[in-house]
Amino acid sequence: MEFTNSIILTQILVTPLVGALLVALLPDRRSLSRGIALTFSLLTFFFTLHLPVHFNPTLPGFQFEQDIPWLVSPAIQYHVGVDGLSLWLVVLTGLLAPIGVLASWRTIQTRSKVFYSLFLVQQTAMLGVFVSLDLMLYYGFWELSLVPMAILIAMYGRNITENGGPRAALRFFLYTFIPSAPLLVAILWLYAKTGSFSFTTLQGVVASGTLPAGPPCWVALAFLLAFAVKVPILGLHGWLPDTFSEAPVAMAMVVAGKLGLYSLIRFHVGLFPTQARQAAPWLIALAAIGILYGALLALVQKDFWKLLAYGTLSSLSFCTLGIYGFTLAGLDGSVYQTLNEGIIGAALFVLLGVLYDRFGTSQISTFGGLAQRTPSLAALFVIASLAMIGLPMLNGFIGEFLVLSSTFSAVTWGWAAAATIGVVLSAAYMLTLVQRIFYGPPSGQVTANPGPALDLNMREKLILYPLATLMLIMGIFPNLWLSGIQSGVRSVANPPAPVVMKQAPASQSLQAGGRQ
Amino acid sequence: MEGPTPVSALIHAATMVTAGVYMIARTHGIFDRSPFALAVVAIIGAATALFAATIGLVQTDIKRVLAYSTISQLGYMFLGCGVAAYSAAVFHLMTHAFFKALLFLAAGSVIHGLGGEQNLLRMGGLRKKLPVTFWTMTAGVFAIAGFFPFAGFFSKDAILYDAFEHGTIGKALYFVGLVTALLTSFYMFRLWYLAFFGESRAEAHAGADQGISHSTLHTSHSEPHESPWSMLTPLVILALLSIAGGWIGIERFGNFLAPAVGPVIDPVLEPGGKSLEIALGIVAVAVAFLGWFIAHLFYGSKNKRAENLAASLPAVHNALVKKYGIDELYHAAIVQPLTLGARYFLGWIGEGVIIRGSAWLLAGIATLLGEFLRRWQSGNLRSYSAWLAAGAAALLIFAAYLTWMVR
Repeated sequence: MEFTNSIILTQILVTPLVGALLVALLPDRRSLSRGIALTFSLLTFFFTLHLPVHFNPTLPGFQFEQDIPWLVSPAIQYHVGVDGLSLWLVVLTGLLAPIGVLASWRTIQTRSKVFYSLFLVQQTAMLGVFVSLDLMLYYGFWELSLVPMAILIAMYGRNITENGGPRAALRFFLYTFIPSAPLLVAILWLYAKTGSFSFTTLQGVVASGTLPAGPPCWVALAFLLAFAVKVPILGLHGWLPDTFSEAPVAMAMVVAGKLGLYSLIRFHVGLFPTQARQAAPWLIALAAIGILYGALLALVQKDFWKLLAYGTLSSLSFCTLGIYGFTLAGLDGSVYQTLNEGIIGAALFVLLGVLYDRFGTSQISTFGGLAQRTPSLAALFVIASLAMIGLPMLNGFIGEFLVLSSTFSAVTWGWAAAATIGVVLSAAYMLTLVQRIFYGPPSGQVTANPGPALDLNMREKLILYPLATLMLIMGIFPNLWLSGIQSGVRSVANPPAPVVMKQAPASQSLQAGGRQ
Repeated sequence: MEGPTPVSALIHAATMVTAGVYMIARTHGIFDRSPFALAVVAIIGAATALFAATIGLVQTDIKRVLAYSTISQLGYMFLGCGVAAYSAAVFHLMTHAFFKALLFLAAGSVIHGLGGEQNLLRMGGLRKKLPVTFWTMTAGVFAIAGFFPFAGFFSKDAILYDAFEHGTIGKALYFVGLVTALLTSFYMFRLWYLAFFGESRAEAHAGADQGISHSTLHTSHSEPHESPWSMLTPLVILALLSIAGGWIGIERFGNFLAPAVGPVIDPVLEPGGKSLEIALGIVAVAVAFLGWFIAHLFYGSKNKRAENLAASLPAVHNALVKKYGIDELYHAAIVQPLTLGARYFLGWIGEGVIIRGSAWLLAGIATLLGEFLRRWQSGNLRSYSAWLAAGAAALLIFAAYLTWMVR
């Protein structure tokens, strides 16, 4: 078991790459490519499940570590490891890969070899971002995750508008690539000053305060900018609406959220706690305004991809809000909400993708009265929407509640109140969407489609039922996840204030959030 | 209200009241510390009771009448909470659950028996055709109107008594509650007469389009028929509870709740309490009879009194039919500004100018850069060789410079 634990992360990283290589070398036949992609993504998911099974939340620091010198000068190490922060994000990434393959099963008609090999490379890159503990290695995976994404958006875009795919890809690439140049400079500056790319070493050096006073501020800012674009944080979200409406479902559901948010917690808050606290008031303001801004814009969108984009901006802002309160509950909530966003977003993308496939349009006004014809689709859509709104018993509630309660107690009630209004608005735009698509009198294009094949088929149910089940389980037993997450984010949270009153033992799930 | 009738029954009898009244009773410790907050609750309660009852006077959809009566009864419960009579409020919550569930399910039975008809103006004469529904609904109507010894009498009486005992403001609110009781009795008996007495108006009004659109789909239905026993059994059970549910008495119920919401105000212990309670009870029943009597005048026989009254006060009637324009007010004050602001201010200026603009700027810089680099890749062999030569020369000079420096 010791041996397995030490190589499991490498195994997880290599498996999709092997799959990509196989897809690339074997003939370009659709069923072959997607079969291999499905096999290897399932295999990767299976391997990622090893992590939570053998993870020990009581141990401090990283687990499943593997540290091999790679280059001597500059001293780049192949150093991977997982802690409570990245643990479930790795598993989530593993889960979303087979779902992405299944979601592309029919929609990717041509050049499937290119699609699936790049898809698997992208998979390795994202997993690499979560497990890298060497900054240079991390940067390599970070960049690697941008390229296949941009290519796939360009090649397989829906082209809703003239040449829309390539334009969205270009915008995405520019937005994400330009800030990674300062990120590289910042990493190199750190190396020049400390002679190390290792995350733990750098953390110690920055904490000891031996660095000159001025530059770390700029370094932290470069880190922040690169990650904030990828989240995205309000103001840097210009790539999001176009990417959401153009990118193929398998890409769109992983493009936003977790990579950026994880990096913010690990490398911005974790590496530069002082600078992060200086930036916190601004980021909290941006997050709280972003929640309202995204929700209000989602309310008036005519296109459901755009609605989902602004809704995502709104709910990802919750994660940012939770991070920069620096409370344990808020950070817990943020990571939980990041997982939620991955799962709910994936479900909503698949569901909207089904609608788009059946009707070839994303204009909300062309739908109506669909529930009669597609009961399963409607039911799952309602479940995913309610989870996105944050209804109790579903996963969205746990994350939003932890973030909001910690913001109320640890930040200011003003921003917390603004964020709470955002929850109400999220109900407004999601339920309006449900109502306009599924209820009311059937629209022309719905009645014009008399076939029985409108509802979900076996493959789509296979994707969506597990996701819906997961939403429910995560909503009822959050401690299954929170105990691990907590062990990871404890180090970056403010030390808890001395507890004056004895805490009541009731409310298991909320207690996990802890009181600051 | 728009949902299926059993769902309406559940929501109106349990969910809505639980959300508000139960929450206040549960958190009474907070409210008790602020007389101002309690006064706000009481005034809102009394105003809601009166406001919703007046709307209920003119509604023609049977479920809509019941829906506004729920709001009105919720107002009573809030009034009870506001005068710190939490056990009376919760007591009314319970008895209201019995008779409101009964009224909704009975209305559902009527609608079912008429094949989907919800418009009171197209009903009439159903007493003989739907006897079980009629008798059970009668129990509900008497209970909500507050007749002794039906359930509603006891709980409404407890709230009104506690309001009366609550100082000057309480006395004013008591009179609002009394007027509401009159209106309640009136509109419930209006419903009762319109649905169950007189001649059937199913044909007479078939042409007049007063109802909701989908009821026209069902106008060509068969004879009205009584519902099956699967639907009637719950009605009978709820009717028994609507009759006897209040006999438990506010004292016993209040003692049961005392550990949670504090002791009940016991009339027996107050100076002159018992006689005052009896007097107020008689007034309440008298008011209920008065409401019944007026309803009888207007709807007990075929006459034009109701139409004439509506025609003589067109502004009032119009305001009531339009529910005082509350929906329109919300739309104009909240929905419209939000959507317009989001669409034009955030959508055009925020997204359009700032975000798009910065993205275009980025793309523009990249394009210019690309254009500049493209000039290099001209495919012109001579320019390539020139660059090659220039590069080699630069390297040579650099190397020479280095060697010279080292030496």
